Amino acid sequence: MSVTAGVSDAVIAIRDKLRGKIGQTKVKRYWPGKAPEWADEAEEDAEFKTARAAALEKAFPIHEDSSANLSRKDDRRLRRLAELRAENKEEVRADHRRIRQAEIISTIEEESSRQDGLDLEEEDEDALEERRRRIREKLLQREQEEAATALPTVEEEEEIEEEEEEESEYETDSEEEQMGIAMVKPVFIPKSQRDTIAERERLEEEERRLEELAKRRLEERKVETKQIVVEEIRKDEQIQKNLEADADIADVDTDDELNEADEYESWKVREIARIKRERDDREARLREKEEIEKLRNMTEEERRELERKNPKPLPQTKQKWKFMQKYFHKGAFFQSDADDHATTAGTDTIYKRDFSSPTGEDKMDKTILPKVMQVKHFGRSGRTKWTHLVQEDTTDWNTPWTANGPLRAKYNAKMAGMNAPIEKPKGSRKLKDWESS
Amino acid sequence: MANRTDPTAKSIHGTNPQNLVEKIVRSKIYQNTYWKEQCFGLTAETLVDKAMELDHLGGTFGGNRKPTPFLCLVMKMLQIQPEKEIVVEFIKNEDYKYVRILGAFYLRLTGSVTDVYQYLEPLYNDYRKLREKLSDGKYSLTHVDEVIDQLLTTDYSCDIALPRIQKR
Repeated sequence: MSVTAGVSDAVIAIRDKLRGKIGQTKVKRYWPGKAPEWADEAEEDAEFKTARAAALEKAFPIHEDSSANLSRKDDRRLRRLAELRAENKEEVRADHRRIRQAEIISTIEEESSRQDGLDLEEEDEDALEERRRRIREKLLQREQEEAATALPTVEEEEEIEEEEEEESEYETDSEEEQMGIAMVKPVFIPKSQRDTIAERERLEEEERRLEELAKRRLEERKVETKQIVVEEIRKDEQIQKNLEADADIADVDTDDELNEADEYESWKVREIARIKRERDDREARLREKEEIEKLRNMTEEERRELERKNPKPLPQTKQKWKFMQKYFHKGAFFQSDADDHATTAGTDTIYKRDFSSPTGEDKMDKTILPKVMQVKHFGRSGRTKWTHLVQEDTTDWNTPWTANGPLRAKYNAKMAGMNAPIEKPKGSRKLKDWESS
Repeated sequence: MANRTDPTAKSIHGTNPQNLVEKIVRSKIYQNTYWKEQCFGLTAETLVDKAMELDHLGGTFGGNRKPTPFLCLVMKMLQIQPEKEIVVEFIKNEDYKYVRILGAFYLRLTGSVTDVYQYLEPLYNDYRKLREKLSDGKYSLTHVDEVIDQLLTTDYSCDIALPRIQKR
């Protein structure tokens, strides 16, 4: 061991004190792809252990001895690691040193130590081993002192740990703390208030719920599967039906030689029906023509008389609509009967429906709703403020203008064009001249 | 183009004769296998053979509205536009009722009102049985006079809108 090595040890010790027993400071940075430092140490530890184990084995030989040795020899990974270490050890150490250099506040003393450090690089393995051993001894001593104060059983344990672990320094610290922790006094908690029971119940509940869910899902799946099967069968049947559609040409017998007399009879019936239909049409047409002619030849008075005698059929009476009932237009096309009965665009029952009858939401009695809700599209963005016009009407019905009293009648009589009856327009003379010429 | 109208064909009712069949039905006919296999390159003469093989009439049927061979042949006649004499011969023939109906249908589609009444009204006396394919693919029994009555009085037959016709 060189002198420089001793100096560096002293420096390290000083720094240890300054930094509060953190030991040899190394920046333990993790580099991806590079074996971390602790792995290195573990390796060494293992070596140390194996040395011990070898001693033990010497004392108490075991069956596995040979196999263990073999495996150790054969372990390629270990071998590779060892090789790598032999190659890179110097480099790695240089790396560590470089990083540490960055931290050091440069003083003269430190500078010297750094010089030492540079020397250290050339230091052989023995020096390192020596240093490590010394640190270990120091720690051991301290721990023994501490253990003397602690319980004897703990001491034993610690000793074992001591031997096994290198960095037991931390542990001793933590154990020191554990000793200081005050134990909490056990307090009785009634069953109903215990969190554990509530928790257990909750878990059970959850489990039950999950089970139920699974069961329900299974049921749903069953129903779904059944539906799919039914759908499949239906599809097959449909396809079959469509295929068969072509096949039943023999269903309808069109042999004309068969039963000709009956055919003739049925034809006669059809022919008579056709002739009747034609005659009816013709008669209806004639009747209409005659009526038009008759009306044209009548005078105004006669026409009025006729109208009075056979009045027009009353239009359908309007139903009383419900309050706030929505209006639906019945549609513009094909509302009346087709004028030509031959056309296929005939009338359907849908056109005869009452389109003013309430449907859907309108069936509800809206008069019982609160006043705010008595508006169109309540609760929607398109909602209106108004219920209907009558409610917003501000006309004053008490003014003489609105009342149809004698005053109003007198005023109306003075207005132009109120006395003479409205006559039928006679047309322009120009047009008549043009037509006659 | 197999589906093109004969270039020498006269326009009927102011349009291409094939346009008398609605676009959708027309495209259905063009896609039909009977049209592709049997109706390709037919002339007025060869069309007669096909018409004689007919055993039912009708418009479109089934889930995908397949056109019947009858409809395909009507389409073919519109395409090649046979002469009026040929059509009249179709109507006048006694042996083949489907040929007669085919001719009557074509005349109703393309002929003038006087022609329609002149040639079709005598067919009221024909009470032979016919097989008609309904829209669900089933057959039903009908008669020549019934079909003629339908042609003369209604405005829609065999999924084709018939031109307007004056009353007798």
